[in-house]
Amino acid sequence: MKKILLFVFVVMLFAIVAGCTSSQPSQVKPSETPNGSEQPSESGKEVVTFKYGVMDSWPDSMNPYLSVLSISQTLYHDNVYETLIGLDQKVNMEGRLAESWDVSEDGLTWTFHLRKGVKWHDGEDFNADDVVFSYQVNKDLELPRFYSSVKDFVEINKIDDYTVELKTEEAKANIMDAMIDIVPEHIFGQYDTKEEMLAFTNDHPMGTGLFIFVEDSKDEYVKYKANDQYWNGRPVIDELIYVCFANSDTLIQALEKGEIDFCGVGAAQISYVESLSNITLNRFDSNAFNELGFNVWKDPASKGNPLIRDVNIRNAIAYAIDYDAIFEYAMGGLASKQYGLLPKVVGKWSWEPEDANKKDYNPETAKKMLEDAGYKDTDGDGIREDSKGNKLDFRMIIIESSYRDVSLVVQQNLKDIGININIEFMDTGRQTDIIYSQSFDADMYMWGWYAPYSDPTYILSSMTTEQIGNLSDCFYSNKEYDELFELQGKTLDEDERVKIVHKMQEIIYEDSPYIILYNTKRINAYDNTKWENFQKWPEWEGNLFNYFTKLYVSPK
Amino acid sequence: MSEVLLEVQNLKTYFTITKGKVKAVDGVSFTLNKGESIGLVGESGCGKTTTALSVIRLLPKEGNVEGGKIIFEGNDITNLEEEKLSDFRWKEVSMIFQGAMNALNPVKRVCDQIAEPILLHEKISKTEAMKRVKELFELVELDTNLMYSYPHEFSGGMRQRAIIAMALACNPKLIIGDEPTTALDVMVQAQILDLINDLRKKLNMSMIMITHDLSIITETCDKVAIMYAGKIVELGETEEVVTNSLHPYTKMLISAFPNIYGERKMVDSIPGDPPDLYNPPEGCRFAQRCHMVNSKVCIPEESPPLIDYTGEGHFVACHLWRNSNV
Amino acid sequence: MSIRFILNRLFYTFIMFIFVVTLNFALFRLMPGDPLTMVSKEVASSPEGRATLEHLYGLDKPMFQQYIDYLKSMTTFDFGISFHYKQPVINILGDKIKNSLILGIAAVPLGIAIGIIGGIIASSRHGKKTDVIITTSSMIIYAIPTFWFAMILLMIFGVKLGWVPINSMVTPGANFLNNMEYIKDLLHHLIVPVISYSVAIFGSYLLIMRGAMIDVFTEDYVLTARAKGLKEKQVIMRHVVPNALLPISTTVIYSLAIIFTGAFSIEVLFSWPGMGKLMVESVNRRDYPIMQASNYLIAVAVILANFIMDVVYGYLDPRIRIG
Repeated sequence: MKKILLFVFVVMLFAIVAGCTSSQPSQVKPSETPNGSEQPSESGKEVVTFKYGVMDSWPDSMNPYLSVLSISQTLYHDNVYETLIGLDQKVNMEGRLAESWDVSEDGLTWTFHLRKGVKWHDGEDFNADDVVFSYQVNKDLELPRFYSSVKDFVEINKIDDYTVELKTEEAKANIMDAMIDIVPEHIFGQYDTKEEMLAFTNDHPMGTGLFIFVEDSKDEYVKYKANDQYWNGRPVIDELIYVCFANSDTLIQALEKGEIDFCGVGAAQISYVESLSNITLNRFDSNAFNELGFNVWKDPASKGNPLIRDVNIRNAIAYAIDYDAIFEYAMGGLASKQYGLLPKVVGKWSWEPEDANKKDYNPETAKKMLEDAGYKDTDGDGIREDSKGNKLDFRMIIIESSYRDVSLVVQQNLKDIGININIEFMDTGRQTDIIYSQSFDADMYMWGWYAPYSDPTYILSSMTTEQIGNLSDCFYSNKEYDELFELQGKTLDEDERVKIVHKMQEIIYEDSPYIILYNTKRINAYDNTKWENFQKWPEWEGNLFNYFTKLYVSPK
Repeated sequence: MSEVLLEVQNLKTYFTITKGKVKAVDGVSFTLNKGESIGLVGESGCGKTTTALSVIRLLPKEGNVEGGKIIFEGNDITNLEEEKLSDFRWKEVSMIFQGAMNALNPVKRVCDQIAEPILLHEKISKTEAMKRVKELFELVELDTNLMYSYPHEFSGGMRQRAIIAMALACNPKLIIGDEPTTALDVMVQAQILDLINDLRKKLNMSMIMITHDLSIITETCDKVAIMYAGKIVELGETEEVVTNSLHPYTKMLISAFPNIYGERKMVDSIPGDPPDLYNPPEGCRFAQRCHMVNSKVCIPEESPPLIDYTGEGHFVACHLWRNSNV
Repeated sequence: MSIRFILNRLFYTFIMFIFVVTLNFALFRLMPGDPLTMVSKEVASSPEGRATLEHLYGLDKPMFQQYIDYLKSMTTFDFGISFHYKQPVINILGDKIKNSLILGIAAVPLGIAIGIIGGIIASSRHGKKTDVIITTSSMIIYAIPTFWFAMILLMIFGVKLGWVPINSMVTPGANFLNNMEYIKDLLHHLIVPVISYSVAIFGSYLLIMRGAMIDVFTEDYVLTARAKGLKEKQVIMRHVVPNALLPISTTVIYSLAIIFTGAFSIEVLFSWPGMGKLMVESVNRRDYPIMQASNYLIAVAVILANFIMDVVYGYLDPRIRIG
């Protein structure tokens, strides 16, 4: 017996040792600083390291042209690469790799004047070749992340080493929609066929951005050091490390202990984190919103209940929902009201209806609307019918892990006004299947979007006829809306464009193919005894972790 | 010259259960000389196995010797400490258990199991011990090539021989056999009994043979003790007890055995059941089932003592004989 | 054991193998949703971009071709490219398996050993105070949710006392001067996970071993061993334990064989980048190559474990050796 135990322990020891010797992170450089976040570097100064705790799926590719998940941007691309134009703290355009730009009268040609003296992390000069390559390769090889952003450009021309021209066939107003990560041509250029690019994993990303990639370990961490040569000034901190957590409780524990400096907080942990004196919380509206969507597909192939296409029912539903109950009960307080398709954080593009037109919680109004539209409960079973006896009985499919509580609130709300909802819980894969399966066998569902800060085109396109079967999950089709969508894409005058975008949101609000349920509030938490100079983005209410914070945050 | 090897004096062994005590052995006395063999006979539950376990001090945890003495080779071993007992067991007294088919550990080789007590009690090398095992195999007439086998590779009879060999391994002075042949078929039974007799003679070993089968006793035992309800009711030389049974129970036991030479008739069984030893009756424990209980001489309320009325070593515990004198 | 017997078993093993491998392929593709739909909303996926992703995943090939490719990859151990990580599956699995092994090899034998030793001690004092204490506390501990227990440990020793790190395998982003530093850091991170893991599993082994021991104690050869004059400790170690180990040996071998598959709940608790976490996440993401490869490895491990179990059991119990 003892022999068995001895054998087992010896195996254990061997395994650990063997595992260690073959498993070290990609580079172990004995000459670099020993472990620990604040140890003297070779020059004798302390190395300042900022640790950001993240809880999410691991990125899906280090190649910025192949990845589609936002976590990949957070952990990799946003730190290493840049675009030609970025957004300032008021969410207005500001030049990054392009110092200035102009557009021709007819809106068909955009010219970018590139910043001089910018260097890639390996020391090579950044110039127009890199920009031309970046745009061209995405278009030619139809790469997943940016193809739709660049497909409108019919010509991508280098005028000189620091001037690039992008031409379209129709006026393009939404140039911000075409901001893509610029990659070094001398590295990416070798992969000029689709197969080669798809196989290029870009294990050591190298760009012009404010941080230089040091090393990573999948599902564990990514480590960066500050780019001393960064054109906008070197970040104050020396090192930035993203640490990956698999559950939120240990994330908060690590924050409390000081193993990480910054992280997001969920509803369940708010009260605990608030009790910690060294941690400051920042609540903000985000660019994420969630809606109740309806199957408004007019095609006979749709297996949805045709009654749901009556706009009166949908608008009645908008009045029937107790939004505050959702915010408090289902979302634990981490939600706020949003009316139009675009959340407040995107600034000028966001629209809100006049107070008189707001469809807030008012079950009496809802009931009256249904009565006036001819839906009465004639047989006394609590469910209304139309004049032909068809019941207001609808099927709602729900991604259980995301919307369970919300759906139950809505179900109860609708029951109160005489509409019966049958909920079927499932996972994302199945919901996607049902909606995109050519027969759309459901009546209502819930889903969510992240609205890009840079340009409203993406979100607006989800309601166009063109996007049915692709981005559009409600299968809405409205000729006026489609025409306005075309128009805003070409309207170069920003104020004019804003008016059109507002009008589009108004149309959607009246037709209610979506009822926006809530905007997801997020919370940042950081150690206030160690750090200061956090920047909000947008500056009126926003996330504390962003491009500007990366530049300016400093130790106390 | 017969030397006394074992003296059991008024042994009382009780089992403690939640309700109280079960008086399994309630005043048992006998002596055993060197080289002598005694049989303990009786129905199930009469206390024969408990008596034997008390001698070797291997009672289950509920059992306790609550009275009397066990004297082995002049030494009182009734309250011997556990460490000394480990030396005592198997070296002085070994035992073959009831249903001994399973007395061999299935995952160990037979030779290892036989050598185990040898190596435990004597300071000899493993090779020496294996030589002894080989001798023992020859002694019990087992093929020595099978020494390294596992128990499941032996037949029932072979296993029994191996167990006997194991019991003899340390040359004990006394061997206790608890129904050693009950599970065997008649042919093998006869072989084993012959073997036991031979060995005893060769090694001058004493034996306590526990069985309910009288025919075995007559073949192997010098003396016999008939036990009933925790007490000995008749004790004496085997031939004497069998041919001149004094106790009514003994007589009925013997007539319960079909006689191969006798008439072909149904045997008489003994009606009734033995008494509950948790609450044994006062007085004579056999009275309820005795057909002589109505005799004028019988005093059922009084427990009859075990007395040698003839003076020739034939003891009986029955009121019917109390008036006989030597 | 005769050659014919071995060949016969190998043949049936092979059939079972093919069946499992095919089921492996079909099951995942029968699940609703595919890897593309999981990411379709994340970015403005144009139909062309979607097509490029499909091509990357090999999903544009006809099903039969995908099956052939799959079979080929299973035999050459080239499991293809992960849909999610866009890296060779072998690299990802290799990393995660190694991480799970480190945790598992430290924790599982420990838990098993505690269970078996505890079972021996408890059964030896069957019915007495020690037994009652050991058995009751094992059952209570087994019933306690692992995550609660681990959180308490982390709260006390990690946050309040600061003795152990909160998560992960090694300090993120740290530079190690040499292997010794790395091993020290790793062991430091291993403490709480190993304790939680082994505490979570020892209960069942203890109770099974205790039961087996109690059964064996009633056997005649145990009484014989005592009669031979063996001290109680010798009786237990030489006669009782070897027999009581028989029923539990199969469980132990199986548990050891699948150590590399990791323990999902432990890994999620401690953000340990292991196989358990990977497998669950891959199912959610419909990452077919990883799911197929991990299922395949599990099948191989179980089949191998079965074979080893047969051999080891035959070694432990001479009664079942054939021929």
